[in-house]
Amino acid sequence: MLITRDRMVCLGVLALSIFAWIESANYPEEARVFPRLILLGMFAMNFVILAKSFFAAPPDDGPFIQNPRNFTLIVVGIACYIVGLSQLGFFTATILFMLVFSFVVGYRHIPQLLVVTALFAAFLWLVFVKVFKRPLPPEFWQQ
Amino acid sequence: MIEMFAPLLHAIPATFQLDNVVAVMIGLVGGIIVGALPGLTASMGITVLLPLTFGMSPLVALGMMAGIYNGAMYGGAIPAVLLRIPGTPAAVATTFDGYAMTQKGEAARAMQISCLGSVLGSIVSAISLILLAPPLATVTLAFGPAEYVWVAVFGLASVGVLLGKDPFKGLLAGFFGLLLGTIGIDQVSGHERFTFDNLNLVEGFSIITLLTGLFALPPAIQMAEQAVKRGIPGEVLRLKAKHGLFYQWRSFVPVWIRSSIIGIIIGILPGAGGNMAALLAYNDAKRITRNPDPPFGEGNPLGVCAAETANNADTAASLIPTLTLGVPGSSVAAIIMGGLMIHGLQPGPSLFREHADVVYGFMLQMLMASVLLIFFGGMLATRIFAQVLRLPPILLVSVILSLCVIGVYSVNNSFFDLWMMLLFGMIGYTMEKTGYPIAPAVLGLILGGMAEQNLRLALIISRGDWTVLFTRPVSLIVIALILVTFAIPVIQEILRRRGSKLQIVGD
Repeated sequence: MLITRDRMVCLGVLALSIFAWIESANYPEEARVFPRLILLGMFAMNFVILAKSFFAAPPDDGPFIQNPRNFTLIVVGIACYIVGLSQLGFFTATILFMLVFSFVVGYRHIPQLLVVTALFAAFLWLVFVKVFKRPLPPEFWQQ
Repeated sequence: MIEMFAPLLHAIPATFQLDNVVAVMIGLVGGIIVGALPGLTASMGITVLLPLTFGMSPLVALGMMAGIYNGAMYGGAIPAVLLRIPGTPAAVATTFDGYAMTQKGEAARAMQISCLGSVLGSIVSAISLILLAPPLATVTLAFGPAEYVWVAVFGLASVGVLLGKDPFKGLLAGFFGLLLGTIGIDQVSGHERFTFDNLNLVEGFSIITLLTGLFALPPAIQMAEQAVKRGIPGEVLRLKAKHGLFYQWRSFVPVWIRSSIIGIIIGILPGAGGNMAALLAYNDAKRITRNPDPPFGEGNPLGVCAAETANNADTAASLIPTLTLGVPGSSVAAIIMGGLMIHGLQPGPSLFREHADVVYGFMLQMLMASVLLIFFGGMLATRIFAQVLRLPPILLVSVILSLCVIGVYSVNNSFFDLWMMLLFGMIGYTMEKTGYPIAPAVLGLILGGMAEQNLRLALIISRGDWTVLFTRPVSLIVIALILVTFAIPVIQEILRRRGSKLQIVGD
């Protein structure tokens, strides 16, 4: 098999290393020596891992993503959560994320879900707002 | 000698102030809960709970971290004994006999043995930290910039080479972390590197963003993939002890002593972790016990005792190189080092000089957390904490992610950091799936600045003469250690091949 996980990662690292090498050419010599030493190390390790991948059979580690549906849901969910934080505020986005995500992945015990969400939101408010007074993204009605 | 430990006495009053003691207790509770939840490692637990310490004074914050660390290492034993699922990787060896005892109806006894072993291991480890760290810090005061360059290389090489299955992947992960560490303004020339005119990158990446993305997000994503919607039934978690905590304690003494020593030695060595300490101690207990009844693997209490004593003896000992040299020996130590840096404390010999009250206080807090573990890890407490296993894991996913988000956002109040957390989460997920260890990448980011600054300082002092790196005796010793580190996988491979050849001949 020509395409293996190791080779894909090696290609990605190689592309990153070449890009960083070219980019570092713009820096004065004293600022570019250390990054280039690192990049040389990356090239060397990448070469060895790539070479090894041709001499050893790839390990059978199962599918890369165990459950593509839930993987997509969680990644998209986190992205939406981050967008929601800036648009809706911390507590609104957090409560929505907890309720919607758990429901979408198949959790149907609504009373338990509501209790856990409410208790956790109260805990966050108590610790971060009341005790530590951390500035959190303002709620949409406060913006 | 007495002068060396005088700051320890000075630190005692502050350490035992009420807010510090309460912080240690809260940390212990949080740590035991996190450790008890399968899939959440001590690394992840500390990363997720670290933001809770942001608003605290350094000593209170460190007390909480000490509690979380000790609590998580013990908490891992709860599902290991009750469900044969190690709560943390270090609890793997606990499952061997712990679960067998549960099957025989001796779960409560196994938890008592785990608790006592964990407490004693932690106490001995904390004492070793208190006794060994100050003299070592004094020795390292003699280190110059060249020595520090090699110490950084040694830390990275040992964790990179010894932590994962493939040393090359470990080293590549380390180089990746070093490269991430160069992003931002170059501290010497003032030139921006890899910022692409993005103001968010000028200061470089926050260590919390990287830690959260790499350590906390991948397990949460995997939990979401599995989407387990039911917790553990309550009946499984009912424990009833027939004997007191100290029942037949004399029979455990040799195992306590030997496993504590193994845990401390493994803890000090960079790259080795609690799981290695537990497995070695388990094998050692097996070797020294004549006519074990029941046999090991079938519910022998000494097996549980050895594993739990050793994995807790590893905790404070792993902080010895972290505090004295600024070189964390394990992923948890790297996270604690990140926590120190967030509170403005730079680990290394200067820490003992400039913040003696804090560093000695922290060492005392590790001891305090170990002692308090006997109350929080006792039977009643275990009964309570084990109840978290009744919570469906899928509900925990959103709880963990919310803590990650609030933690990363709280550092700089930046949404950009949250996107970077997601990016690092994807990178961490890919690294886990392709066999690249994560700890060297974090270590690279932490040690990169120290290595570069000292390298440039050494070259400035020597007027550009690179031989300065190879001429001082201490540098040569550290270089020799680095070469030994690189030789270990080669020797292991030779021994493995020789072993398999002998096997073939034998067959």
